[in-house]
Amino acid sequence: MTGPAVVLITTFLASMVEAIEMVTIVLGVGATRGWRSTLIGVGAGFAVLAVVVAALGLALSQVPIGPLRLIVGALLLVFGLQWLRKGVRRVAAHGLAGVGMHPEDEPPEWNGVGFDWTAFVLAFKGVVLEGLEVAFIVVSFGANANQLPIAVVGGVGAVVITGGVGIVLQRFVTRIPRSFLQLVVGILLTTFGTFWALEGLGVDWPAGDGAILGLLVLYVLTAATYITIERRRAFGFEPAA
Amino acid sequence: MNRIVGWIVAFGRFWYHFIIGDDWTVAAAIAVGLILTAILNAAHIRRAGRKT
Repeated sequence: MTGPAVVLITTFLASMVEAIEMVTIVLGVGATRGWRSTLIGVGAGFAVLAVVVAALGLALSQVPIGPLRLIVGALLLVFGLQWLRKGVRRVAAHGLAGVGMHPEDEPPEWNGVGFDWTAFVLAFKGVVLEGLEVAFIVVSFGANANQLPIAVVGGVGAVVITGGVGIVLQRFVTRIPRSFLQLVVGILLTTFGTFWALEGLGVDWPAGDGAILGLLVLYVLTAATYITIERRRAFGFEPAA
Repeated sequence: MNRIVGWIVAFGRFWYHFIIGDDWTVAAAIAVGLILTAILNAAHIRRAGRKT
């Protein structure tokens, strides 16, 4: 039987990887679209998660997560690529000077009256999917080692600590101009969307979650290339196609 | 009856604008990409199965 310390550290670290993904999405969406609808999405996500975990308990490990990953990943890809395209255009238009702009000088993404469903759904999906993955980790490690309470402490601790770091970082993230932030969030959503959608299709990523970093580099390079092309075209260095 | 049809149309429009947005080519490209990936992945699994 595995010792309590090993179970605690293993579930904590494994859950932290998922919690970082959750907090990254929530932070990016909140800073770009506004916090009210995002936080309502987070609350709704945790409420659904609590109901699912309470209802299924140990049977949670039998739930097929593949289709859920595919649906969430595909939706994140749709939103992510749309934001990435807008971010590339805006950063190409303003250049790096946009980074020095004051956030209040830029119009927010959401100008509509009422509820921002995009922010709500993105935050909700991120919390439910990543929360379920944390629950799977806790149930798998905890049940196999016969140390479920310790595993629960590890999983919940990882989410609470990562969430706390996210709250601290939130002040700094909101200072970043929205045009640049939209590009960054677009890259992040596209990265996670690609990873989850293909995982949902049954693709085995080399290096597991480490492939997320590879995808991130790929999309950063792609965005940089398109920004360069757009700027050259805008400033007349090359004839428009 | 017309009211029900109107609700269904409005429901469909909401989801179309919500998911597809202002550029349907993005969603179409993602759908094609995922379908191709699924086909390639399934083919790879079958070949691997024959080898073993």
